[in-house]
Amino acid sequence: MRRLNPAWAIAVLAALLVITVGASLCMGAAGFSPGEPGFSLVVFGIRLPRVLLALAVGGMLAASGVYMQTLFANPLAEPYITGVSAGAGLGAVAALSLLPLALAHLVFLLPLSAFIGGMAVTLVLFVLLRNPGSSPLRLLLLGIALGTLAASVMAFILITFPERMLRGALFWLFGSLAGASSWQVAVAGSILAAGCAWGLVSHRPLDALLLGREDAHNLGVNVPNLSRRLLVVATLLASVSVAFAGIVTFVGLVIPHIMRMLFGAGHLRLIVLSTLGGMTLMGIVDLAARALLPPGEIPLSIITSLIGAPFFILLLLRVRGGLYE
Amino acid sequence: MLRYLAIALLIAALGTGGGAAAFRAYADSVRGGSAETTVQDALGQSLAPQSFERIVTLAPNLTEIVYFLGGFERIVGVTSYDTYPPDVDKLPKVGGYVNPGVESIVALDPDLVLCFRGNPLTVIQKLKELGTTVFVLDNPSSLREIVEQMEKVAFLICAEETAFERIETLGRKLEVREKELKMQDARPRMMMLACCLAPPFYAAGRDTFIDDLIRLAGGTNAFTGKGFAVVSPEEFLAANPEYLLLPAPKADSTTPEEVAQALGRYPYLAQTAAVKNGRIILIDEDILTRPGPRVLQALELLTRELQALAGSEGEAEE
Repeated sequence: MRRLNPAWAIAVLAALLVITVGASLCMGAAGFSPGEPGFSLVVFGIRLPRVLLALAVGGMLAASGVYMQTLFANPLAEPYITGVSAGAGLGAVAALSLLPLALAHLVFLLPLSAFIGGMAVTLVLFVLLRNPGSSPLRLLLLGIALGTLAASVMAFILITFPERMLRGALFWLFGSLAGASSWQVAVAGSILAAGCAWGLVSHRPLDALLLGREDAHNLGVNVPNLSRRLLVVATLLASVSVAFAGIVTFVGLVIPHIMRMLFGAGHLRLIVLSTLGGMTLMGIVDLAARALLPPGEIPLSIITSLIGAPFFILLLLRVRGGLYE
Repeated sequence: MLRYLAIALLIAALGTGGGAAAFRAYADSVRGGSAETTVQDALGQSLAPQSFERIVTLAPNLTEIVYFLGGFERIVGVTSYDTYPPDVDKLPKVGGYVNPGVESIVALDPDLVLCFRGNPLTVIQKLKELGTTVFVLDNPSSLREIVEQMEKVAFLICAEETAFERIETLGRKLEVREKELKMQDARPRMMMLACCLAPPFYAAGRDTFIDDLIRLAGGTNAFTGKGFAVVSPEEFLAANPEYLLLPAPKADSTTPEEVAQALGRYPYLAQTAAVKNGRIILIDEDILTRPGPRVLQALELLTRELQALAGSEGEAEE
């Protein structure tokens, strides 16, 4: 497959983004009637923070996916592979079971607990494996083991406190942006910007890492150091995303692959295009989540796969050569 | 000072089960304008009672409660799960009980959103952030608690005077039932299967209002798990329920005999006294499973069925 011109792709994605945001602001159960009472509440209080958080979450997941796949030198790696999702879910569920529901700051404490849970898994990973640069496969397997452990503890808490869990479990398991709020947009947006900026600044050593750890080392890259940073940044992006939107599957795995197939593996392009692609996909997905089954909402993970999977399969079948043969 | 007295009265009344009357005294003291009083919801938030005119209910039992209180015409939106009263079909829907749409709710411009445990916390938080008044009720663990919740809602929405009388009647029915129970010796073992005629079988355990319903109807809950939980084959054998209570789906004409037959396919169920003797009790699922005013109907139905079946058993033994 011929590599496409990234400048055009960026323009197209940016245009799509603008259209998605526009559509998200105009569409919804409350209609679009400027001047009516409640109009600005609906558009600026509900729709705007929601679409912006969708974009930030999509971008964070896609960028995290790029970093994870580079770190593990494994195309199956995705943001949740190191147990971030299970750890974050465990954090949220533990908070739900321990904290009184009447607690005033639950609105901040739940995402915070999810975030801490996600990061804690990575911390344990560091402690277990002093030198993450040594073997990507070992790191990957350790991550999967830790994730499974966290998921089991979460399931155990869920069956121990079934009454208390009903409220939170669905959200953490399938993803939702129903609670999107402007402070979340601010936090997620800053983390996304910082995460991307780090990747863009470090794109050369990241490219070198693609050649293999030894070659990267020979090219003067401090591989253990870079690996550690990759893990922290990728986990940070994924944890914040889970904290605000629950577990949203597929975006982090698929978007980087799509961009790599179409535009090559160089990190400068890959990070920009994947982030934009993730943002666009999530924007469309959340629009669908709101619009497909009104007046209720569909969990995000169901739609990410419904939209993403067919496109991904089509692309996989058409691509020849490179990483995918 | 009056306020504290009223609250103390209320607490004493709720504690001793003398509910409705004291609650009215409490409500009267408030309506007299002599005190600022608030009602606290399950999330610990206090609200001042007000004659809310645009109410959205996010669970079917809440709709039924407001309807019972004579406030049905104040409801402007309900969930897609709502079926009662029949006129509920004409009301706008705001989505499901577990996935209501924030925007659909806000579009109805409600002055009060009544929520129930199971509504997503994120939706509740978002509604509050948007300045919508939200009141959350928790899962009740007894029929008494359901009546208390109804009192709370009645008080919150400044329901009509007769609503408090109706609640009082319900409370008195419960008291009468408690007294009758003291004179009853036999407590047949009963289990309520919450769903489906195939494994895994879920039953209502301790801390559910169904547990209390079984007790009040004169039975004893054979399932001792906590909340709604899966019953293992061994637990069925050990519990050996004499009666099985099941919710009957609307417009479903399955007879108790057919249910017994279906359950009999599982050896561990076939061996229970309930299935062996065909002692299956079916009650309309909307009446049985919704913690609202109609649960008292479920209690009457179940009590009657239990007495009838016990009577027929007595005859058979003679």
